[in-house]
Amino acid sequence: MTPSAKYADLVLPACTQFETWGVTDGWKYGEEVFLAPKIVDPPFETKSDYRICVDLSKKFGVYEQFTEGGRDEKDWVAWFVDEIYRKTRFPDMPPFRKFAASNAGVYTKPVYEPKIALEKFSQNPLEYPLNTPSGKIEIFSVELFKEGQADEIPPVAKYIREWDNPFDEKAEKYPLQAMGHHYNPRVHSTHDNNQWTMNGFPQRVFINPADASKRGINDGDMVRIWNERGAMILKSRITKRIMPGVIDIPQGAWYDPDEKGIDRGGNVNILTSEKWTPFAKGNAQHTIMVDIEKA
Amino acid sequence: MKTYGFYIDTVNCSGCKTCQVACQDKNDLEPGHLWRKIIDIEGGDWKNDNGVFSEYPFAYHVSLACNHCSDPLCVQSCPTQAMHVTDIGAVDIDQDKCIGCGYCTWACPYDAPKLDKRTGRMSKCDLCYDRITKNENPSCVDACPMRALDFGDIEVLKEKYGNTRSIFPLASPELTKPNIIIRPHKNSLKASVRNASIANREEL
Amino acid sequence: MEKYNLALVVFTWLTQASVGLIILRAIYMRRSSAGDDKIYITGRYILLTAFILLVTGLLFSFAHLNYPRHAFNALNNIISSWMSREILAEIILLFILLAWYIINGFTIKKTPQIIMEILAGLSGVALIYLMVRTYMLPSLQGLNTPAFPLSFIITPLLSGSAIIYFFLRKSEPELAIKYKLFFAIIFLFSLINHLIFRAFHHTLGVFNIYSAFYLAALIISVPSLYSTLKNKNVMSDVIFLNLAIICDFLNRVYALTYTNPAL
Repeated sequence: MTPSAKYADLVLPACTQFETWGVTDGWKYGEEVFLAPKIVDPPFETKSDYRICVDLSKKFGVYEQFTEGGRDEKDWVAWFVDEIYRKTRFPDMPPFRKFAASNAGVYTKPVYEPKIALEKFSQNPLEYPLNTPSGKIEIFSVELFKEGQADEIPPVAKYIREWDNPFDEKAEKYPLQAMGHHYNPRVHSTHDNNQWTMNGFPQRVFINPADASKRGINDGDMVRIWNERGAMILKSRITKRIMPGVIDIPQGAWYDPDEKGIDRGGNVNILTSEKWTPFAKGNAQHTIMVDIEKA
Repeated sequence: MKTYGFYIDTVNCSGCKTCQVACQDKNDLEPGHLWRKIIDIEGGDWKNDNGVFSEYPFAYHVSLACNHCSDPLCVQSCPTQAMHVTDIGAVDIDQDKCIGCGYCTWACPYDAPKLDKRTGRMSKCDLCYDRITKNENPSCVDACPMRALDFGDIEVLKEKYGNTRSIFPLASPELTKPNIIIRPHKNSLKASVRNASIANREEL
Repeated sequence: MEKYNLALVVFTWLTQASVGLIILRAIYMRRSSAGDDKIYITGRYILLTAFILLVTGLLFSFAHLNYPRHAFNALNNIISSWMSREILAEIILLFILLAWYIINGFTIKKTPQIIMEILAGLSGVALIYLMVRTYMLPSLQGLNTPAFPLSFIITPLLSGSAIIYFFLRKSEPELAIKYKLFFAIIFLFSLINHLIFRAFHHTLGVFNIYSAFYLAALIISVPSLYSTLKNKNVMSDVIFLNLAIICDFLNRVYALTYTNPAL
C-alpha cells in the first residue's frame, strides 16, 4: 500500500494508466503530443479515475453535465485532440481517428526551417518590443522591485543564501547539505514498489568518502540521517560521484516509519522544510541541512 | 558459421539499466537474477584546496551479459558438459545435465552464469534464441534508449566499430576470447592509474 | 564466489585430512616399536578413520550442489574439467581405501600393505593436486597465489599428525611426542601461510576472528609443548591441538572468502 493510501479513510480501486485512454503533450512549450491508448482492460473491479467520477456524478444527478453528453475516456481524448490541439498548437496534426489507427503514439511538430530565439526583437527592437514593462530585456525588474522583498525576491539576478545553508551557525549542528535527485528506477514515487527497477537502483544515501571516513561509515552501513524536522535510517553508498559536504537521498521513496517514527523507506520529504519558496510558492525541497551517523 | 556478438558503447551508455530490466522481463527472471548487468565504474578524486573543492572524479558504465566467448572457460570447466556451445555459436546450459554446482560462475571472468534459485540449476543469456532466429535483435539491444548496444555477426561488428575487446574492469580478452566489441570511454584508458573501482558491487 | 560455501570448505578440509592420515600412517607403521599385532590394529583404526573422513567429505560435497539429483553427471567432462577429474580421483581413492580395509581384515602380511600404501598415497597426492587445479582458476585472483596450494599441503599434514597423535597418546607416548612436535612445526607453517594470504589481500594489520584464534593457539602452544616434553598429560594438550586445527580450518574459510573474482 502506498503511504498516501495508508492515510486514506476510503480506498477506491483505481486502474493504472495502461488500462485507460490518455493524452499528454511535452509540457507547456513542447512540440510533441503523446497518445496513451488503453492496452489492456482494467483487471477485476478496478476503474479509471474518470469512470469513478462518472459513477459518482450519476448518484449526484449531474451525469449529463459532467460527461457532456455521455463521453467516455476515449471520447474525451478524441475531443481534446480534434477540438483543442488541432485548433490551437498543433494545426497540422492528424485527426484523432487517423492518429490512433496509425499506432504512432507520438506526434512531433515538423520543423521546416531553423528557429532563432527573439529573432524579430533582435532585428528591430522598437517595432517588435518584448512582453516586458519596458519592452526590453530587463536586467533590473521594476515589477519585482515593487514586490518589496529584495532579500528573497531580488530585482536583479544574484545569489541568495538558502534558509538552511552551510554557512551560518546552524551548520555546526547539521553540517551536511542534503539533496534529493530524480532517481533512475522511479518516476517520482511511481515504481517504488517495482522490484525489477528498484533492485537495479536500491534506495541508498550517497555519501562522499571524505564525509564517510570522518564519521567511520563504511559502504553498506546503515546510517541515521536527521535534522530538527525528522530522522531516517538508510543504507549507505559511498561514492565519489557526490561532492564532499553534500549527501543525496533520491526523492520519491515511500515513507515507511518504524515504531519509533523513524523512516526506514528513505523518504527525503521528512527532512524538508514546509516553508514555501517566496516567489513560486513551491516546496523548497533542496534546502536541507542534516547530519549523519552510523546507526 | 556466423559467430554472434554484442557491441557495447561505453561512451553513450548512461547506466540506466533498461537493458537489464528488459532482459529480466523477456526471460521472466526474478529481481536480483541478472543475465545482463551494468557495472558502474568510478575513479578519480576530489581535491580540497583550503575548503574549495575541485572535481576530478569520473564514472562510466559497462553493460555486460554473457560474451559467448570463442574459448569459453565455463564450457571447459563444467564437470557435467551441461555448459555447451549451441549450433548458433551461443554458450548455453543443458538443464537436463546441470547439477547447480556453480563452478561455471567461478570459471567465468565475467560472472555471467547465474544460479536460478527456482530450479536449483545455472542459467544464463541465451542470446534470445527465439528472437534472433526470427531476425530480431535480442531484447536488451532493442530496449536501449541510448542505442548503446548492438548485436550481430562479430565480423560485421568488427568492421563497423573496431576491435576493442576489453575495458577496465573486464579480464584480458586473451583468457576466453569474448565475442564483444567495446567502444571505450575516454576515462577507461587511464582507469588503472586513476584509482578506478567498481562502484555498485551490491547490484551485480 | 564472494560468499564462501561452508559445505565446500568442509569437503576440502575433510578430504585432505584423510589423505594426510594415509601418508602419515605409513610412517607410523615403520617407526612404531610396538608388537606387530598392535601396530596393525592401530593401523587399521587409522585406515578406518581416513575412510570415514573421506566419505563424510564426499557427503558434504553433495550439500553444495543446488540440484543433487543430477549429481552423477559430474563425471561427464573428464576430458577438460578439473572438477570432474577431482571427483574421479576422490572416488578412486575411496575404493582403494575400502579394498585396503577389507584386505587388511584377512591378512596382516607386509607385501599387500606396501602396494596399497603406494596406491593410496599416489592417488591421495593426485587428488590434492587436482583439488588445487580445481580452485586455482585464472578468474579467481584471490586463490591465484602461492599461499593457496601451500595450504592444501599444510592441512593434510596438520590434521593427519593430530589424529595419529590422539591414537598414540596413551599407548605409545614416545612416538606420539614426535608426531606432536611435527604437528607444532606444521602449525607454524599454517600461521605463515595465513600471513601470506593476508599480505596478498592487504589485511595484515587487521585484527579479527582469524587473528584471535591464531594468537590463542600460539599462546597455548607454549605450556602444551612444555608439558609434552616433560611427558605429562595436561588439559592444554587437547586445547592446543583443537585450537590449531580450528585455526587451519578458519584459514581455509578465509582463503575461500577472499577469492577476489575477476569481476
